Amino acid sequence: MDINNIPKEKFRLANTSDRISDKKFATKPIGYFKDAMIRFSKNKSSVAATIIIFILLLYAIFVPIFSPYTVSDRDGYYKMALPKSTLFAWLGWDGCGEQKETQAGYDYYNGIGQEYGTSAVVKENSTSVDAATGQVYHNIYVDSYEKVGFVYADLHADAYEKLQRYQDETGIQVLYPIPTYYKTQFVAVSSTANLWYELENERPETSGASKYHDEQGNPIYVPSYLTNKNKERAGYTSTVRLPNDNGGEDGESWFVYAVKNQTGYHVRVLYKEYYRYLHGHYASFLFGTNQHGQDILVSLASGARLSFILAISVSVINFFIGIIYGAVSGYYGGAVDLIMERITDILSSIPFIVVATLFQMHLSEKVGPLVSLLFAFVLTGWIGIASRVRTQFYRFKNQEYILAARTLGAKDRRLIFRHILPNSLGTIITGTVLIIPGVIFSESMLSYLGIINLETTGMTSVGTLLAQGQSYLSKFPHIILFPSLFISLLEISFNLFGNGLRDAFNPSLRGADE
Amino acid sequence: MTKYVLKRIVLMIFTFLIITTICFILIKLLPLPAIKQMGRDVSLIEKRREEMGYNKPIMVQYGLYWQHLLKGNLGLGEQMYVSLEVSDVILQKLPYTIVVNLYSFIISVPLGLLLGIYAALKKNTWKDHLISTLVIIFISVPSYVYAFLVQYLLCFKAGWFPLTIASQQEATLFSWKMFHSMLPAVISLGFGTVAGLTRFTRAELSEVLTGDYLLLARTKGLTKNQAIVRHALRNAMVPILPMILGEFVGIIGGSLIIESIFSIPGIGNLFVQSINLRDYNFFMADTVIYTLIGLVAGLVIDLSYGFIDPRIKMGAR
Amino acid sequence: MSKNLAKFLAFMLVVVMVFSLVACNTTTPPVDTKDTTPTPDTKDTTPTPDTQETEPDTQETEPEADPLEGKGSLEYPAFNVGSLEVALGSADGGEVGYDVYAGVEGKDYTDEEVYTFHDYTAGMSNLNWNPLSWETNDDSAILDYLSRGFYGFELNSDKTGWSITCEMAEELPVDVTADYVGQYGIKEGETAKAWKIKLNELATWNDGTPINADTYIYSYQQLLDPAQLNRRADSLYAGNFAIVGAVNYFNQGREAYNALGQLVADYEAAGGNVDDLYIDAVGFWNAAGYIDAEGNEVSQYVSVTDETEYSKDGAGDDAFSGKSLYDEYFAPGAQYESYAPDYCFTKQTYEANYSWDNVGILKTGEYEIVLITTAPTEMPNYYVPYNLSSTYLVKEDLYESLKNPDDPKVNTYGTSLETTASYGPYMMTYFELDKKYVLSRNENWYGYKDGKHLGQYQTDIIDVQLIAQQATALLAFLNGEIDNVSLVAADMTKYGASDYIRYTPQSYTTKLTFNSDETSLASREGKNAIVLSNLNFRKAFSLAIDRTTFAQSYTAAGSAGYGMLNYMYVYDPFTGASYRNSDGAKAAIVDLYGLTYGEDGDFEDVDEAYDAVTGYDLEAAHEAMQLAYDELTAEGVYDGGNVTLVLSVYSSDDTYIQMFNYLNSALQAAAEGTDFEGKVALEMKVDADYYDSMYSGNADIIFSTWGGAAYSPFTLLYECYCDAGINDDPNQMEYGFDSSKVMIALKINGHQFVESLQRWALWMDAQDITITSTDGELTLDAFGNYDADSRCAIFAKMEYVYLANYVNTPLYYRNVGSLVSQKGDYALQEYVDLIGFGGIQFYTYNYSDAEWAEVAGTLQY
Repeated sequence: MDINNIPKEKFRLANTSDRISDKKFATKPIGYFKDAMIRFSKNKSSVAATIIIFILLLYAIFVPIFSPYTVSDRDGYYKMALPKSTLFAWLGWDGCGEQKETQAGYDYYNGIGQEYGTSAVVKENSTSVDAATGQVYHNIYVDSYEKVGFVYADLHADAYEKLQRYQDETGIQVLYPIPTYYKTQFVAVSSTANLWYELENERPETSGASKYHDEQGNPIYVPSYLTNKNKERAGYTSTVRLPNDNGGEDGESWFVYAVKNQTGYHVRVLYKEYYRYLHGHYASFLFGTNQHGQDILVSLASGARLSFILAISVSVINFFIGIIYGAVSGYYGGAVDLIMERITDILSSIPFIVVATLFQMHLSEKVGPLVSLLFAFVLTGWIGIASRVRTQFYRFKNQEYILAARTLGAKDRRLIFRHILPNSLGTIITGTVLIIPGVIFSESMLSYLGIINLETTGMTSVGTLLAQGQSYLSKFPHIILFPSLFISLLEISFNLFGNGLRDAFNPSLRGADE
Repeated sequence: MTKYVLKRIVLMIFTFLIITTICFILIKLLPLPAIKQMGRDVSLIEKRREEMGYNKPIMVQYGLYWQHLLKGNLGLGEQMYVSLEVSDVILQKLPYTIVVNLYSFIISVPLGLLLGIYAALKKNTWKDHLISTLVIIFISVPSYVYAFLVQYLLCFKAGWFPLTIASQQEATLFSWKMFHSMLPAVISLGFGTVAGLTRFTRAELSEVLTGDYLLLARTKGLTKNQAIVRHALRNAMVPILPMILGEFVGIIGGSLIIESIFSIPGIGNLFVQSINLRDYNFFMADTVIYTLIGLVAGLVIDLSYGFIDPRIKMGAR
Repeated sequence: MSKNLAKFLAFMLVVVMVFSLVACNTTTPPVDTKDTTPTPDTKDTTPTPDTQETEPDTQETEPEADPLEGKGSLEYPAFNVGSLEVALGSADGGEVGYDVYAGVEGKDYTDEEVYTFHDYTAGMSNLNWNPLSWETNDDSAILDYLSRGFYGFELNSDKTGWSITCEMAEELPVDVTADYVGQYGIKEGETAKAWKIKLNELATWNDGTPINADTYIYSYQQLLDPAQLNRRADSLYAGNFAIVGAVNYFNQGREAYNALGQLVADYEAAGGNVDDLYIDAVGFWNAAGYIDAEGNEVSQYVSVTDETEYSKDGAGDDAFSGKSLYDEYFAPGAQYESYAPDYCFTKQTYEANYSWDNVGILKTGEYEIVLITTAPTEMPNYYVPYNLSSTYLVKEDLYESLKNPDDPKVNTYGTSLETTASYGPYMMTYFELDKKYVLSRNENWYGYKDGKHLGQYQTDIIDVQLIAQQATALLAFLNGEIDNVSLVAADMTKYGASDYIRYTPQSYTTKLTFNSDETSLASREGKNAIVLSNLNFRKAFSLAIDRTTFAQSYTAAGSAGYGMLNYMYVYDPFTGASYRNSDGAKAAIVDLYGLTYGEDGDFEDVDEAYDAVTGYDLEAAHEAMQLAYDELTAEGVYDGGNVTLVLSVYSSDDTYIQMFNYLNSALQAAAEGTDFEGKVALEMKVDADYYDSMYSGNADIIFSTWGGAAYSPFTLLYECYCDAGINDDPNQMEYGFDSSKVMIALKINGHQFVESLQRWALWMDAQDITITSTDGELTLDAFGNYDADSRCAIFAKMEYVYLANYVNTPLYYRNVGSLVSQKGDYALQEYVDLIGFGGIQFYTYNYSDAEWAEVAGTLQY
């Protein structure tokens, strides 16, 4: 039979009934990305992560706007103040910390505030005696805000007048008498303004009242102030004076509240009140302050802002460069691959630290440290993504469906972008997303090594905060705690977010609900 | 295959030459370290530099460098470890780095693998979440934070270990005492490896576990364990093993931060120091070492793909 | 350690100033990062006021006619600094003590229990204790254990200061100049140039090999060996105790090019021959690689008589010859005449094969040597032992075996255990690169046998390990593993009140140094850095800095600084009188800030006024700032735009960042309320070679820190502050400041003198300068001949003038705070110059090693 010329009548319909159940879909077709979105939103942890990222972003954007503090507020006295929240003080979030002190240390902290009837020592937890040396140690709970106590300040005459007026108007005492030993060669002991008393270090063996001890043998802080027969010495006309400032027995030994100097007046102020006088509120830092006296809550937010900008820019740029480069290299293989691999080899083998150093030395003058850092990250940063893409291409390009597509005449571009790349998109996106914490991480390493420095123009970054907090870790862990928490939270979220994206994009999971 | 390997090695040497050249030029472009010292005769130092060839054109210096290098002479320290042979210094310091990193490798690789596999198998249970969270914390917090934390908590507060590693005056390199003193450093180094490997293994394995062939294997009647061990694990190892190999090759790299915190006299800080002080010979020696590590690791990884998974053909289209 | 540092400063010959980077300790600046020296208590008041008689009133009113009329220029005001009465001093300077503290009960510690001192160092990569080439303080610390000088400066018997002891020398040096008249350049009648030193016959190397005159001759010959180019060679050929012939021996066969340092016209006027000049073609014309017609490459220095044409490719348009360059650019009246001091050079050729016999180091007996110097030593009974407080000995057989056959510059002596030989109280017994080294008692040291060192050296072992991180070191200290630890600013809140904290004052003053050169500042595009060339602008910045706060907040133990020299400088070594506490020095600061005292003044006397100085006066700052604005805009150099000044710092260290932030806000505070408000800002730039940048005018503002020779403060003014290029190696960092244009009128003993600051400074630096009064009646003697008080008073006047130019402004005096362990005690509670706390010699233990193991880690600080 001539198969080319089969008569028409030989053909017959298989199904002649009217009913055809195979109809067009009434629902809308679901596209690749929409499908991914649906899948993504079913992944609870990824959604949670997305929300957290969003919250962190909001934190970075808004906290610096609404906080009473700014990054450039650096209070030299409230350095390393502990986190304090009036709301959660009962949880121990009260700005106080335990310290083990020798007798001298105890006396010192205990003495702070005695002039106005309190003490920086909130409570004494225990006392121990070292068996070997006989030294007495006190475990005391000290308020890190109170222990700043008094500081010396040099005020211009106008400021001095104004402060006295404030005192008179409010009745709040800010200026306190100057102790006799207010001049020391080594001003290093930043707390010298707190040494306003005489004290006998040794406690008496038997109890008995003396100038320095009460009946129980507890120390009495005996004031040692500068005195003068002129009550208003150095222009101190304010009526607010210490209660025991009555001119002494001779009626002529008035306490001296200021000493005239070059700036105007050398005064001793109660710092917390002085702070309130200057800023309108008492100092209280939710996350505490760092070694610069900056509010950690705000500086972390500002740092996060910068880190986000840097990291997101880097990852976006790297994403595009990496995909194109890796795809070409992986898909074509052979000589193309070898040459491109050599280029990446060379680029990636130039130590990053050299790149960063050189960029900082030569480029940062022109474009600023941040941009030159961005360049340094981009120069070699895309290589990771490129090689990931390349590996994926190696994996998929010899698979049967590619062979089939090629047989059907698909062009290279189509093969790359329609058939192979989507397979790899999951891992690539994960990789790209993880560049963000990676950049923050590298930036902190570079800050730690002192190669870059973003702090010079009022900027800060999470990495900088981490790097700087390290040296205070044993003494003031809160400085590094919050940046660490932030970066961990960020990475966990980005990781979950990335995973969610990958699962959503992974076509092999299509149609199966785990 | 042999041809491919040979080709790769030749290319590797080529790459190596380019990198060392670039690095040499880059470092030479930086100005010489300042020599200002009040009351000292600066011309003396200038004379020394003149005689050391510092004032010659860079490419001439580079040529001289290779002349020495080909004789196996890495040169002498100029700004650091003055008058000591660079190779001597590195050889004295290398054992520490290798030993510490080797311990860390031996401990952390199996741990990372196991945790990763466990997490993948228990995917999306609380165990997985716990592991994943810890992993991310250790990856995201820089090593100098937890290295110091380890030192503070385990060495200082608890007193389980010495603060810094023992010297060879007290213990030989492979003694128990040395191992004990190295443990905090080993642990600190290990966190990163364990975390990285765990995450990678988990990711790879869980991807493989969703593969069709596993379903097929189960359908064919393999038990879950058989399917995982024989099929899933083997396939997941394709990307994991090269990563481990790369890690292994990197053992001689050293870690600046960990070595400096635990006073390990390893080679970790040589690099940064040589850049800061601009000691060309040390810088070049280090560049050579790190470049070689990088290149060899790359080669090993690429080659290992072919060995592990016969379907991957290297260099073929 | 403590003593070693202080003493070490003394050891450095001449004007040994160590140029050091600022107080932040994490990175590795060239010198002096960690100083473990303990120090006096905090609660100590300022040093006791000295008892020297006050000078006549410095507040004298204007003289009849202003001697300075027409002398000042716009940039540099002229100064009339009043009058002084001065007197000549005695030739030998004063009496020196020789009685040494005998230690506790004069006890001999050598055969008792084991005592170990545990120390740490932050870095060992630069450790090199080769006596001929050591460089850093860490090196010198080791050398101090391993060697002794001819003479030692030790704690005196009443524990108040130093005494001189004979160590490697048997007795005090004897002046034998008369014996060598006619030789070694010694003329009839000269004294104090040749010194006979009888050597200690008990001295041996740690293996028992005797040390005799031959050892010294050999070592010095190696030190000066022209091929070895040893880093310490300048100790013998330069400075105040330069040995005759040493420089010729060291440089034999070499050529040296010295920058002209003056205009060609001046050079000619001084009798120079123009044909002898050379031009730095590479530096000036950027001609590296240029070739002549035959293809020969150009050399760096081209003679001005050379007419060979060089060009880039042999025939280009940018061809030049030495002669053309000279004629076009440098000849008197030519375009770039003013560049001649930097780019014109004179050539010096040293004779080849200079014989060692001409060098003034002679062996005159088996145990006797003679050293002959190029210049007589002033105040010999102090300065000769001072200059001979180190010996540079190497062990011949070891040193020879370590020579590198390929490269004579290389010798590994003093880099490891095997390459170390000792002739001091300790010897090296263990060394591990970048880990630790151990020094133990050297039983062969003469001091343990001669009975003169009883009660000293209780320490048997000194164990030094490397701990790079200060935080780790602090933990190790608290664990009892090391016996001292230096503190950083953040530790102060916790340990500032400790009984065991010690403050070591250092001779360094950290300053902000400004570039005031209009040309280089104007080249900063778009930054308006030119404002810095205005004196009032700099003054305003300076006045806006609250130094007390600055020192408290950003340094571990620094104290507010106002003067160039701090409390460490002793102007009279015989009385130990402190310069800073002298009335003249106090008046300099008080006058600088315009505080008044006396009858009509705000303060009773100069002491009270000095106490009131803060250097911080915003009101005055605002005034100066506005004045600066007006002046600058009037001159037309400033367009009223934004000003960005770059502060170059060594590293992006945390402390620098804090300091930078403070200074930035201070500058902005100074501008508040003036036309500069909101327009000025600092920018921080990390530049490890920032001082080189400043020397070449490429930095705007830097931190600078000079310190060092606490015992010869007066040469500092020239060496560090006024030397902008008279020699080829200027030290002055205040780029653009021309001290020769600052005119100072000073009345001395009733005669009026008007000279430039530079000439005053040169005169004080003992250079060949004649200072004659305007009436021509009085020519001043050499500065060194005046008595210490007179010198101090003159210097104070100059310090005032210098500060009033605000080309730099002092910020703080450096002090180091450290904790000392309870394991033992230093002999002194308070820091004493040259002695520190008594040093390891007099360190006594409360616990032996075994006892310490029991309590270590349980003690609180």
